[in-house]
Amino acid sequence: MRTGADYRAALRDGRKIVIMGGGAIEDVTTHPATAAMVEQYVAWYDRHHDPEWADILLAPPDARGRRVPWAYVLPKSSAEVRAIGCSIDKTIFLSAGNITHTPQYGHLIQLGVLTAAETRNAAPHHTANAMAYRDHIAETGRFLTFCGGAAIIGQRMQPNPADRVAVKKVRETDKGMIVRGRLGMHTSPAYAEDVYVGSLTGLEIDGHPAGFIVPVNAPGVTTLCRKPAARDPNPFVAPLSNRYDELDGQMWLDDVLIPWERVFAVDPAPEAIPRWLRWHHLYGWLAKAEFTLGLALALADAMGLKQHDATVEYLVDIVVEVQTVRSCITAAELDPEFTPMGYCVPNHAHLAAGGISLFQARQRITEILRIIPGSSLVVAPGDSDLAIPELAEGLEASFGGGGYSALQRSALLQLAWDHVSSALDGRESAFELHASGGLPGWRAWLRRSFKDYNGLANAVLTSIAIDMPAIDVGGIGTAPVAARRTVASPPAAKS
Amino acid sequence: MRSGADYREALRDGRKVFVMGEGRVDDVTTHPATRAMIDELAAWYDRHADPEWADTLGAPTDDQGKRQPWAFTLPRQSDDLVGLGRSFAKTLFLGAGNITHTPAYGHLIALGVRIAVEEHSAGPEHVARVEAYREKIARTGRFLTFSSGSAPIGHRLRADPAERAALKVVRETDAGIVLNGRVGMHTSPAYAEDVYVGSLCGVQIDGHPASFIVPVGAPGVTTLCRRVAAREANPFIAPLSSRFDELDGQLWLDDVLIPWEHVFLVDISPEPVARYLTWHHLYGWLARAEFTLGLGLAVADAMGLKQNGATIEYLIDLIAAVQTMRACQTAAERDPEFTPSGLCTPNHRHVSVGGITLFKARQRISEILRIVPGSSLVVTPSDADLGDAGLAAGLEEAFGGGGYSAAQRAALLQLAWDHVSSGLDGRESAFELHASGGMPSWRGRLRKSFDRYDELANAVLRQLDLAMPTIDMSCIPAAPMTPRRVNAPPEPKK
Repeated sequence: MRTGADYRAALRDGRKIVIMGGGAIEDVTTHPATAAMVEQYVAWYDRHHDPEWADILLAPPDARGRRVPWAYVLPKSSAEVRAIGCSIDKTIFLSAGNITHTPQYGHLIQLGVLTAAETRNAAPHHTANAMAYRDHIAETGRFLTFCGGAAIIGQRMQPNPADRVAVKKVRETDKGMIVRGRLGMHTSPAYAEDVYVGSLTGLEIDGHPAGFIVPVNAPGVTTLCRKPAARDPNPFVAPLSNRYDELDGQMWLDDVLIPWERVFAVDPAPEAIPRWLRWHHLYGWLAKAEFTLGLALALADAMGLKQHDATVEYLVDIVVEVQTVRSCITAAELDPEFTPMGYCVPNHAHLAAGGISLFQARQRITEILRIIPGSSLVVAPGDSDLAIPELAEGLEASFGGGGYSALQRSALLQLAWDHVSSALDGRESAFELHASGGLPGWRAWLRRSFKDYNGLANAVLTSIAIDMPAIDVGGIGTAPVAARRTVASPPAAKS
Repeated sequence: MRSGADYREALRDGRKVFVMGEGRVDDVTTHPATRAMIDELAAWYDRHADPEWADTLGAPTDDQGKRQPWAFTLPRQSDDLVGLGRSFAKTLFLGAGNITHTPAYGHLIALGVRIAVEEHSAGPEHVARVEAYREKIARTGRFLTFSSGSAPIGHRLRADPAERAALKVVRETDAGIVLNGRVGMHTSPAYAEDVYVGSLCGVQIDGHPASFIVPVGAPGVTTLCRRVAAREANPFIAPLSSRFDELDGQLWLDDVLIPWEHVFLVDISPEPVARYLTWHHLYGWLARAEFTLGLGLAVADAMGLKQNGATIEYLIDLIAAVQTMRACQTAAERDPEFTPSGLCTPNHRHVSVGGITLFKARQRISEILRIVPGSSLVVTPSDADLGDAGLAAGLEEAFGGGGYSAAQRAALLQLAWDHVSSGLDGRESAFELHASGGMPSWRGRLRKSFDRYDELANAVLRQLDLAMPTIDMSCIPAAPMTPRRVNAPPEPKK
């Protein structure tokens, strides 16, 4: 595993990054809009060299005594899935669930691409190419992120339907294909080294839907990131927002060469690529919910409410949601599925139920954390206020006591505010309603992964004493996921 | 395993059973109020001899080539729980989740009593007593049911607090204790052979809370069952109600001798006894929810709605609830806990959230099944109406077609109605809000079994760049379960 310093150096690769409201960024490792997140990724790599993290992040020694990071293991058993899950769980909590894309996530993307290629049963070189790229990122720690391949709104409004795609193939050469176009929302492109672009582009290879990988710094690539979430520059007031803004973005491709070995024939089924990704998404949401629970518990202590019955009931409300998701993940890992090639996949039926449960609970979880501290949450001072001589004594009297200084209690309240009432929180909420298909997507995956339609429908008929028709409702489970919504272009203006 | 006929015969044991509204029942195996359930329980026994059920109900073959029923297995590992759980799921579904007490449940009670006795540290002879009883029911198939031991309302409102307990010890003898009193609601006493009466009964032996097992057929025992859930006599209209009414009841003891070997010293809390029971309760609720989903799917087919977008969304609402519970059960069995003596128990953290999920969803689940069929659910005919010469042609036209005869479609709609709009359904809803403590107890169990309070509270503090106090939240899980509510007797008149 490379070091954080290696990763930081690798980002100085000539990439063309523009940040909305901030213009072009010469060096993402030093620019104020991006430097903090780069440091988080640096820490992600360095943690793999920290002995205290070894048993969480590294697999047991192999025959040669080497310990492979769980982040890059091809899981073949439930135990391996459990261990990978534990490594995701422990690291994603560190950012309160805000860092959803890591190099480990990149490896899960490529596992999905590999499985999609295998499932598609295209020519053997497609599978070999997918495996070679997986091996490459496992060996180098190269950071891959994911883009579905959907077009941006302007392209979808093009009058000519043929122009409503994200990317077009300009030409093919012996080396690869030249593509041009603009790709919609994806996360962390400023920090990643490669982007996987999915089959929503409509591109095909050898008659199969195609996905491809494009380096962020490839000639012709421009990455356009959204504005950073508005935040107070003081880390005391915004301890999370100042560190964990992943910056979603778009990607513009201007005659970019994609080598053939980075173009993969993939299965277009909605389960194909995200096989492991939804599991990671759910860990991210669980981390955010657990962080909320941790804050609620800490505030119950800091506000002297841990024996207050109504507060304890609010805490149990959050415990219910957290533990339900944890139980679903536990079931998914201990009752897994296997791909035809023998890779172990968390069971989607259990995962989908957990995801839906969290979608239904997330706003309530947030609201409870706003309730528990009382109005002190709204009026808590910053460290600079506490340092003003004419305010210090009064603020200490107002916010100190009960085992906490005013500074300590304020720090905790500011952390809670930043977690559930900041622009970063708003971004997370909006993002997650779209990034993995939102609640409709998760319901559709449950519909497709639930296996007992005909079993249950016909089983109830045994309670009826007359002959009944055999029921076939299997079509509910096999029906395709609802098509992505289409944008209706306005009628062309009359001249 | 004994046969259903053996079980039926065993119930002719001189028991004194009353059913409210019916009077004295001389023979529960033949009385119209009770015989249908006895046939169901007889079928439960006979199913164990049915080769088609062997792989579901029988544990893997042992060294001597014998297959022990899962129902009477001592679980030692996760795989045992998975096998037990599957046997519960498959059999409970047959009663649409209405038959919640079976001999398998009785064995789980005995397992829980063993855990409670072990936790109470009353001594090895007490553990040996309960294990001997457990082995006996495993060997004989004897059917045990459960009462927490709480008193009926009249006792609880007595003026003298010393008189408010369910039972009193009349005397102790060399053979056992002689008890007098009345024990409140429990399920299936008319069909069981023994009742476990928990420590809420107020009996104490040598300063220890005591629980005991009393045979339903013992001299001095009277079983008083509630009224039968109102139902149509016609099984076409009431295919579930006419078969699956467990009949909850009270137990009156009039100088009943309880042999010492059936007296068990335990803590006052019933929670250790319920170690496996809540898991079984959740399987019962899951069976009911799955039956509702099965009906939702079947009705979607019968009503030509299986491709209707809104109907499918309703069905996915049901699936989400069902699958969440299944996931919780899977996690509970595959991520289990172990008692100090090596019994493998379902993890209560996972079981609890499954139960809470269902408590929150159950009314909505029922409502969806009332929605999916449309108003045909309300006006569907019976077989008698369909057989009426003056109505038959019109009803066939009104309810037949699309691959279903009017009789078939009506049968399915009547089944749905009986499942979610009948007196039996109302009883089930009211019963489950009390039987295992209701939502407050399930939340209490989660509060006590969740084990990451301090870890999470202190972990978030690491985001702050200053020294913070170490947080101790152990008071939350350590707090006792919410005490049972106390009924306040009126102030004595001056």
